[in-house]
Amino acid sequence: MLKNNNIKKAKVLNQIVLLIFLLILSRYFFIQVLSKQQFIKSASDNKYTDVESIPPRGIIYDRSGTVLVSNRNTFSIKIYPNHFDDSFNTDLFYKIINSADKRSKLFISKNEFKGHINDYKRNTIKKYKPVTIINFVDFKTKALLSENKNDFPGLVFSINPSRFYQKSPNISHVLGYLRPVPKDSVYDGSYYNINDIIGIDGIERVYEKKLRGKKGEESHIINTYGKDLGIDKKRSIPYVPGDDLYLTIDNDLQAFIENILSKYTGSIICMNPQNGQILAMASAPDYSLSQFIGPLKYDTWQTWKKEKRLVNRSTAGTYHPGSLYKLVTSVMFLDKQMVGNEDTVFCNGKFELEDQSNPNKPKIFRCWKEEGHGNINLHNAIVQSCNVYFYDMILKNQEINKYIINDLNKYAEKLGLNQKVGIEIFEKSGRIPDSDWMEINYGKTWPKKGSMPNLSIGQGSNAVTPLQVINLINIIANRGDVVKPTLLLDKKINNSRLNISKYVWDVIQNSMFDVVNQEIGTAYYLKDERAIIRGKTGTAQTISSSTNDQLLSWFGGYMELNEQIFSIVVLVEDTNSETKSIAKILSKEIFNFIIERNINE
Amino acid sequence: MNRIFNFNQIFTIRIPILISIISLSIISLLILESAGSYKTEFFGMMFSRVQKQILWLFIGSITFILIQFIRLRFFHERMFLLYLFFLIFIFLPFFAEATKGAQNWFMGFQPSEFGKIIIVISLAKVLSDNQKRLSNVFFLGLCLLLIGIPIIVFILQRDLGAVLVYSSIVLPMFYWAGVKFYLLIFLISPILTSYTVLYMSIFNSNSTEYGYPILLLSLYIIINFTYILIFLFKTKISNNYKLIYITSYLIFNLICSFGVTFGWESLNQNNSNRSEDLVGRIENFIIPSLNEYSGGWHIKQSMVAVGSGGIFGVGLGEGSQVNLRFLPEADTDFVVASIAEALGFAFIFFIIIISYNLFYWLIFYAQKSPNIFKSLLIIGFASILFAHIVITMGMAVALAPITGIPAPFLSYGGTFTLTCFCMLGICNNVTNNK
Repeated sequence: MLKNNNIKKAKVLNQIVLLIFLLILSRYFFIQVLSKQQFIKSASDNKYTDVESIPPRGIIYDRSGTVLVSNRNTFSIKIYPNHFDDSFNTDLFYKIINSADKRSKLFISKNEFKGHINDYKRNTIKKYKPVTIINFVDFKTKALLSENKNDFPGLVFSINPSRFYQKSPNISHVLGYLRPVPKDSVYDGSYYNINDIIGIDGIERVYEKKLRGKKGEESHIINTYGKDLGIDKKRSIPYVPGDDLYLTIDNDLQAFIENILSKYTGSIICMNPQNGQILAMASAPDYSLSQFIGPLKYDTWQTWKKEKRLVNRSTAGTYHPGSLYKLVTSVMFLDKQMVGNEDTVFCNGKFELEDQSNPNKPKIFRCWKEEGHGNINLHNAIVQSCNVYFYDMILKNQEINKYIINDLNKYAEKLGLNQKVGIEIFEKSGRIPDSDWMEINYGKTWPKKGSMPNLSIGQGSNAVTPLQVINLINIIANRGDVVKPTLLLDKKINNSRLNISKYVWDVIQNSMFDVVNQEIGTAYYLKDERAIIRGKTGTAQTISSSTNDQLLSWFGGYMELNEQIFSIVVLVEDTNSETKSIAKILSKEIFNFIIERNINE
Repeated sequence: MNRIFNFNQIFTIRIPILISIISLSIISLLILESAGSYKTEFFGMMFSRVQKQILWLFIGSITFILIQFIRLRFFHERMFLLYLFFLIFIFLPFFAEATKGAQNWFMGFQPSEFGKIIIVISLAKVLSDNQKRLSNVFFLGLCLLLIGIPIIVFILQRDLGAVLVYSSIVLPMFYWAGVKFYLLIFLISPILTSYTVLYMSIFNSNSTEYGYPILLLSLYIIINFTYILIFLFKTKISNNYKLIYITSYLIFNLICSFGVTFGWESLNQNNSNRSEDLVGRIENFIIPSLNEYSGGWHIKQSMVAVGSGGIFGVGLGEGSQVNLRFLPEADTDFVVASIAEALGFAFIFFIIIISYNLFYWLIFYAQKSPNIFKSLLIIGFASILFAHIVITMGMAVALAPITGIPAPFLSYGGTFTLTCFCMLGICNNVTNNK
């Protein structure tokens, strides 16, 4: 009886045990097998903290491989509050930071500094997270602090990616500067985060995507106390370093032209017309790119803006072309066969044009040479830069063709003016007026005879950039081959051919040759036995002023040396009637530099 | 015949007992080693945790063998003396400092652990000696007092684990001794009533999405209703007795529910730190996943550890929850979660098979034993081990409240491992005397 009873009880107990075990087992099955994914995700959320890793920006080289811009990181100084204690030598810390680096200074007092970190130390979670003390500290300061690491418990460094620039030349306008990303361009899904830097100007801006590379992601393993145990390499996505860029810039030539231009306001461009490569491009005054590492002082920025240092005069400054524009007018005269080479004009130093509204007082246009050039043909008009010849010829032709301004505009556009030349960095398109533009801006009484003489010699409403002028010089040097100027070394040559007869180029090139090589030429000063130099000078009033005190001094030309061609354009602003030949002087120096370097090689 | 030991005793170690001890211990050592084993001082020498656990296993094995020579009648004879010692011992921790919120340690040992053996012996003796009084309600009340005294002490020491484990022996041992079914139900009913009432009031005062109050309440009502019907029509006792039983059953439960409500309200209104702590503990006990930042955080991390283990685990020493210390008490209270993460569902399944095998055979030994005292010993010890296993396994997956009790042979810890060896040793001893 007892035994039977025991068997029954044992059975009941057994079944209860089995039931409870099955319940537990099914719960484990549900969690471990059926809803596994959800918990695996929670576990990895616990385990990993993903931090983006920023790739080194691409390095920019010049044509021969000299490093123009590289990376030299600056550092953020951080302190782990949990390691911070009274043995921290605050005096030494302040001394090192405030003396070694002018860019960053500590503004809070030593007591505040200690109290601040001790506050963090008392917080159970914040004490494991480093507090940033100061950013953009240079390597020297970092080294000084590292040497005395025992005095600074809890001190760590993190990297701020920063550019490093050579001392000279600046090449500031071509390279461009970097700034922290503007706040409004950091949106969801944007590549950038609030602390990233981005190219704002020049090559850095245009090739931002190429130079920046691709960010990676570091998966830090963080334990439950917030301690960082290192990086999981398998889970991390490595960054892709930025691509390097090779520029067409010739570092030595660039340094030379920046040096000679540094005393003036203006622009110099130096190119190879055959392949469109820009060997040097300077705009003065310029600025030091190193100032853009870390925070830029507001005052500095304001001063630079006021002095228009940030404008790249080579591509974004628009000026009257002055006598250089006579080349364009001449191309039209010759190609349209408006004048023959033997047609002459008598220049007595001035040109009178009767004014329709005021018949008694004729409008007077002057030649630069008061006593006049006498009888002169197109060739000599270019060589001696006679204005009267062009006044007379353009008006003669306007009588035949009322809208000759549109022909002139068409030829200017053929020769690359009034449009963007197509360089990589920012440029302006300038302006060569046509009849529509004149009607809009000067009213319906146009065309009057009075505007054409000025337009034909590059004054009036004409505005060009130095880059457009050198492009024009290149077209002449190439006898009608238009090669797009470029700053990138490995870019394919992009050229097209103008439908202008060979004869035109012969005449223009001969004239430009005589400008330099004839004693009567305006640039005889540049004559050099060692090379064949052709060119054209120009003097123009600045757009804003009409007095003779503020003149633009132009020179555009090219040199054939050992089968190589170098074209240059020099523009100096703010010259007066005595210093207006400064462009020629600078050009001579540049040609000399190139020739001597060529001989030495 | 008053000697404790009888060295002429011939004994065999039962295979199911041996298998479970060895396999669970091996798993325990693997987990302990993989979780990083730092060295601590122990009896004046430096030991790593693994070495320490091996030492305990060794001491336990020797104890196990020594116990085979014990005359179990000795316990039967000296029960009251043992119980007295036990009472003195469980009061000792009041003179020591509290650890982890519970005040149940004294000199590095937990008196409540060895007490588990004594309480089973005591109850077994009282029940086996009074076979004819089992339907006497006052006698049963006296038996309950035997366990009630230490339980009250443990409540004061805030050792919820011990309360649960000590309570767990009552029903199986009463049932095995032959206490009538309806009396057992009478005993369980206040627990169910208190649980339901507390669950409802906690659920109402905390807005939480976890828990099923409507289901619980309807289940409670249906069970009681069905039980009363079955009792009225199926039980073969006199109608007068039935009337008295039902009336007292209802009144008892009603008083219980009012008492619990009143107690809970007054505890909530008392703003002292101690009572707030108690409120938190009880809340987490009743609804384990209620509060994310106290006990609930443990459960969450434990669930993540278990879930991320998958079928075959992430590998020993690879578990991020354990190694990065997200899982608290990874080698003691939450050792099952560590195992689940490192070795996966496969080993959980294995542990449950091993455990079920052990209990199957323990019940079998109890059934075969001709001596009611000795069979009650087995049932009592089996209940205690069962409670430990179920609570530790359930705790890791939010099935059981967090109480901080170890898993037999799996958790790191000396006293409890030794206790388990003693308990299984006594069970093995019972099978020797045929």
